[in-house]
Amino acid sequence: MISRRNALKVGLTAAGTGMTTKLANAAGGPVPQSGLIFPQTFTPSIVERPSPPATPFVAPLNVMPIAQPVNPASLVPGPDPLRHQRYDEFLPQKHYVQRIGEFRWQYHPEPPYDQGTWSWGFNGITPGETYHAYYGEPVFLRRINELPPVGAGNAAFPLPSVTIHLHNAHTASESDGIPQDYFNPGEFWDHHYANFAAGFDPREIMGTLWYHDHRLDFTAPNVYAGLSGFYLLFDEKDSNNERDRNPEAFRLPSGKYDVPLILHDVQFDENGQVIWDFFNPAPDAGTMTPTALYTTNGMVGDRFTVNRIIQPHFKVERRKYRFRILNGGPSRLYDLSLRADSSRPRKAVRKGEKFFVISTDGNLLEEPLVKKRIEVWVAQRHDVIIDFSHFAPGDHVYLVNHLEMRDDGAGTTGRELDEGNLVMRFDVVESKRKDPSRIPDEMRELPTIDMREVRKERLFVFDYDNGLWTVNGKLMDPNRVDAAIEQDSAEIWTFRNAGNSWVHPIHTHFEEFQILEVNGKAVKKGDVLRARKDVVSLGPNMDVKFFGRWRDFLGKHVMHCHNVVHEDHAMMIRWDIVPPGEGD
Amino acid sequence: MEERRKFLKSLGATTVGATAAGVAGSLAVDANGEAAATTPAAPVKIDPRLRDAFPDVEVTAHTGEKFRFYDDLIRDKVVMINFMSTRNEQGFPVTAKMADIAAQLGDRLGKDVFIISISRDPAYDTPRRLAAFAQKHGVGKGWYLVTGTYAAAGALETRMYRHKHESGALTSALCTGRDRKVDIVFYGNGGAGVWGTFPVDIRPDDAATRITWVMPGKMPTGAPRRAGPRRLNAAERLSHNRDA
Ligand SMILES: [Cu+2]
Repeated sequence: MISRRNALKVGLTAAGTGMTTKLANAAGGPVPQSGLIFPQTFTPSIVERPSPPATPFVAPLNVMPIAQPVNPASLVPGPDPLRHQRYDEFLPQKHYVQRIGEFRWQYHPEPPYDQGTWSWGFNGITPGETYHAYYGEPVFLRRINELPPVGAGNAAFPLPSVTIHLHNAHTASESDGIPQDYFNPGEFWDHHYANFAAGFDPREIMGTLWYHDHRLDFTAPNVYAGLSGFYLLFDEKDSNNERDRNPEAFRLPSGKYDVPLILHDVQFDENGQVIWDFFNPAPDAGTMTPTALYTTNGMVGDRFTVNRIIQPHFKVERRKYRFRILNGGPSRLYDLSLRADSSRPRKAVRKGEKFFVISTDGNLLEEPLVKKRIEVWVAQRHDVIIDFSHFAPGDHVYLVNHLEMRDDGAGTTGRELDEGNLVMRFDVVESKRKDPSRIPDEMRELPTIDMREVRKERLFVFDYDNGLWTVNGKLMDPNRVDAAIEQDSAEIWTFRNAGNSWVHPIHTHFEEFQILEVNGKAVKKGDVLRARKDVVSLGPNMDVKFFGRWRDFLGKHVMHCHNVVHEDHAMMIRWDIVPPGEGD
Repeated sequence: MEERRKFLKSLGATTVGATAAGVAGSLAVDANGEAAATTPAAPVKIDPRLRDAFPDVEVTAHTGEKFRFYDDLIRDKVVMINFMSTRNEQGFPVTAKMADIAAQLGDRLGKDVFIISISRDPAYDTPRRLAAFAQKHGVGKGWYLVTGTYAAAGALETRMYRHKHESGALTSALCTGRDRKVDIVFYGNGGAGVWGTFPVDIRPDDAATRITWVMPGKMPTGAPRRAGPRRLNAAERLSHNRDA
């Protein structure tokens, strides 16, 4: 893990800006620079032109509404089964419509934010509605592009041509929302989500999925403009019912106690409008004057938003909650903890300042892991249970981001929680009812790894070349098949970061994998990496080897860096699932 | 880190718009992008709020015409921009690739879309040399090979996609792009302010399609039209699932 720690250090440019990262400052002033993806010689423009101030914890958390189905007869033209693999086998039982459009969204109630920020979203909101879907209940979702055409909208930087990917769903190519499958203003695309476990293996059941734009060349600006949302899957064990009488049910906190949180860092101009700012002053170790320039490093904003609200507060009862924490990007990485301002004795409070991690990358673990910190790279998800019964009414509990302690020789003092950025605040109130939810001892078993299924091993080297981001020395070409994987086979992939200062959250679509080794060492029990994953945290000079299967469908998919600015420039490959015997 | 801090201090303030090219030491530029053999460098102004942050430097085309880079070539136009050098064409044949894209565009080039190829080897790539090179590659209407100062080229290159500053320190390898293995074409709409990039080695028909993405669109009318997925057909091998 050494190199991973170094990777995170890379972001600590605050040292060069004279900014402190103390709690008080973090709350009021511009956000300190911990958790960036930039090298030390790089000063992002958020230091030079901070967003207008916004008093933290004034705005209540936005909790997205649950998507409601429509009458399928209202879809004109109707669904066409000949356009979807295995449609008749997984006949849709619920139908939905999402209209993608432009509107003003209020990130914060104070000026200039109160005027609303031109944003893109689904059915008039960002993030879009949260889907509650169930295994065995296939979904049909029509998405209609109602964005103003190029040059006609108010948000200039994104492209009003979209493709919406359902991240980590086991979905056929044509419904996956691959970068090439875009639809323009005035057009729609039909998505068929079959909602069955890969290989019909119940151990492959997933839970926290999200949807977001994946437009070729424009994913970063389009997601940044607002195109993201949650899609949650339930089954008889993770049943969306904390009072479930089925003895098999996990009875995780549910209903209003199951809250998705998507973190986006955003930068605003003096009018409260979102800036897509590639133009970062970048002094370079004293060799030249500062320069405004376009970068392909990443886009980092200085306002932490949760569900597209700047530093919100959320009223919580003294009981257990399930939070589905997702880093929606575009580029920032987080290392999160909890810190309470409490009237209760410190010892008691400390019991509450921890996460029961029940899933990573959206998939329930074998057993909950108790963690003080969770590292959340772009597109990664952690489902956590927080037990607020350890706190008293009136207490404040902060979700704090601090990637890494500064390596200044002071060492760990036990005061590390004093540092960090306050992402949001939980305001504890008394609970009227008994908490029926549980933290189960055991959850989902991991699928068996059978090396006899392995047909091929592949190595993917991620690097930087000429200002661009390469995979095996190449940039993305949708007409080139970089891997032809035989259906129903397994493969072993190694991701190698050839760079010594960059980190890449690498995501591959379609089916989860299990990490075998990190830098040649096996993943141990108790490590959050011992899980079904879909994003690899690839630190500098790091090697990650995993086992994956490709089942159930044929067609085109992609693997790419989920620092979406890297993805657009063009750290991505196309891979295909092909019939047995036709692989490369 | 220490060195940098001192450096910043010596500047007094790191003004946002201030920028530089010509940092090799011997070259400097004024606001017009003209080179002068002085040290230290005066900055080319890039205001991120203006002109989509393009430095409005003066360039000379292979035709002999002089242009303001932004005002004359970008503003209100749909463009593809790439970097090239006549001496490196053999090592990295980017102009040949742009010629393939130009052929795909046909007579839309010069009307709906323009190509600007910026020399990163401006001392060698004089307008006269560029003219000969243009002729060799069949450069026609709507395509400009442009050259200027090192500083101007460096400022433009820095604006487009380099986060490092080799463009400031123009070594001969960087001038010619000798070591280059991958590159992109920067494309966008100066009127709308939307900008993207595609890798230079994608198929020319793909490139010609991508430039249409940033062209001004019409407000759609009537019922929404299906874009996809198209009907399944195991025999075809297209790169996408859209309706044809
Ligand atoms: Cu990356």
